[in-house]
Amino acid sequence: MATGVYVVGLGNTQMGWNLGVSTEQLYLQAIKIALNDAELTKEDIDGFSGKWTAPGGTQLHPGSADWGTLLGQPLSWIGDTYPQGPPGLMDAAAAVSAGACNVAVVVSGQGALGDGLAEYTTPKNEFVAPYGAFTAANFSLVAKRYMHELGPKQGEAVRNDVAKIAATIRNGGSQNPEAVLKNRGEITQEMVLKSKPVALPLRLYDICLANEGATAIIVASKSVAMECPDPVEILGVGCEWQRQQYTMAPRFEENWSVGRDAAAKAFRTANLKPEDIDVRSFYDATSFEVARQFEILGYCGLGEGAAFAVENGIDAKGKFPTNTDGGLLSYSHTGFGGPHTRASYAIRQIRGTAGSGQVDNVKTALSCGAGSGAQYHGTIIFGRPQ
Amino acid sequence: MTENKSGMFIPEPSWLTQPFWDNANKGVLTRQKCKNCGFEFFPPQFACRQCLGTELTWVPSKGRGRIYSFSVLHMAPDGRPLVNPTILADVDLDEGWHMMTNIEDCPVEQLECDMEVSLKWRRLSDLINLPVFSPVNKRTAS
Repeated sequence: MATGVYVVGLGNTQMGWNLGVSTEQLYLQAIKIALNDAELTKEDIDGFSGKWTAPGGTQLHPGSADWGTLLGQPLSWIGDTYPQGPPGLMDAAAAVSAGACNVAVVVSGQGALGDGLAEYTTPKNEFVAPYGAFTAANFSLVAKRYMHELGPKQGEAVRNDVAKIAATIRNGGSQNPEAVLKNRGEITQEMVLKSKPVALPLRLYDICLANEGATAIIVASKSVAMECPDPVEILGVGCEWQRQQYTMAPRFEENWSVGRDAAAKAFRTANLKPEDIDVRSFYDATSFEVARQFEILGYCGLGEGAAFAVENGIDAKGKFPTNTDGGLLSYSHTGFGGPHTRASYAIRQIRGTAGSGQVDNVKTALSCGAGSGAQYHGTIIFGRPQ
Repeated sequence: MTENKSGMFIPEPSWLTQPFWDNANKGVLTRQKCKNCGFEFFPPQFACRQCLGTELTWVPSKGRGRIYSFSVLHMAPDGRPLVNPTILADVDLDEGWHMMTNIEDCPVEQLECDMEVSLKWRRLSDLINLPVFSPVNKRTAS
């Protein structure tokens, strides 16, 4: 079945802090890398989705139209979906399959954070902000009730298992020369459990990065893709929004399952089952979210995700390789571009270009974006062209 | 939204939320109720999410409930470490609605999910009185 739409180009900038350029300048770096990768030129772009907040534009919506100005050519489709990753790629794929455009650039990330915090981490809603809530604290509320529902013994076992998961993913990042937290040596389960408390039960090593960097992904029709050197097919996609994020407390009873129906939709379109997927690019905003995604994607039942991951293995040699690049925990989390970098990793695994975390003989890979604390979640499945 | 000296955000009411903060200023915690279908909800909206009815009233809460979940925050939103951690919680009110809040007057080691709590107020400014909760006195239970 699949979607008949392809990823033909991929570009990642350096990921890190104090990269010294604005968000839009990073986008352009990523776009140039992606065009080169696809063996396409600027003139081939007729669709564009990417945020514009810099000088040189109008700040009017749709912000992506400002990119039309910069590119110096008319566009036949623009998208303003944020974040990117599953939702942005879904929109671009829909635009391509509807014939609205042939070559759509979807780009996201963030630059120029300086020494400050990324703004999205402290949502300003008046019924949330006065209580000191930030993004990780929202995820923590869901994780705490999850542990409570499982009871003291299993709750504690999950706490220990997700620490092992975080350590495994971080060790992948430590070995990845592209990772923000490269060369950090071995991280152990104990180090995660003893790391600085941030929003208990979440500790520092349970929680993802917030860094600079950008990812561009070029989505194209089959006729274009067949002329490109290394196309990857979009096999299926599904997204789910329960509400706008960070406007009210997320709850285990409602939000733990967010994305389950969306993932089922993606699997249906792809005509695949969870066990058919060779590599997973989960949205590891927190260690608990890795367990959650194993559960809601259908790998195991409620409360079993952490043990499932630990028992089967999620490193490159494990039975269910997941985030072997270091994920959001150690490789990179570029804000609204976070889901896009996760999609990039899944695409690279299929192409065999994932570097230190490459898994052997990957034919299918999936990628997720957002999570329980954010109250929305999406899944996209990629495969080698048929 | 403004920030006071301690870095805590102080709400700036909108036309949608002004009644909530006016009531709070008088020490009354309220949520909205739909005149059409009777559904009660929080945070404030201009229509009912059950029936999209727009005839809404504000009803007072008794301010009693239980902690659905909580998190012990050792970091402020601006990244500063907190010497005295903040207890962030989602409290289920007895009337069947819930809100994000803080728990005060409770040692961290005594915190539990489903613990009974009651309303108290934290004054942030002349206009803003913030609803928070504290454990129902345990001595009466023992």
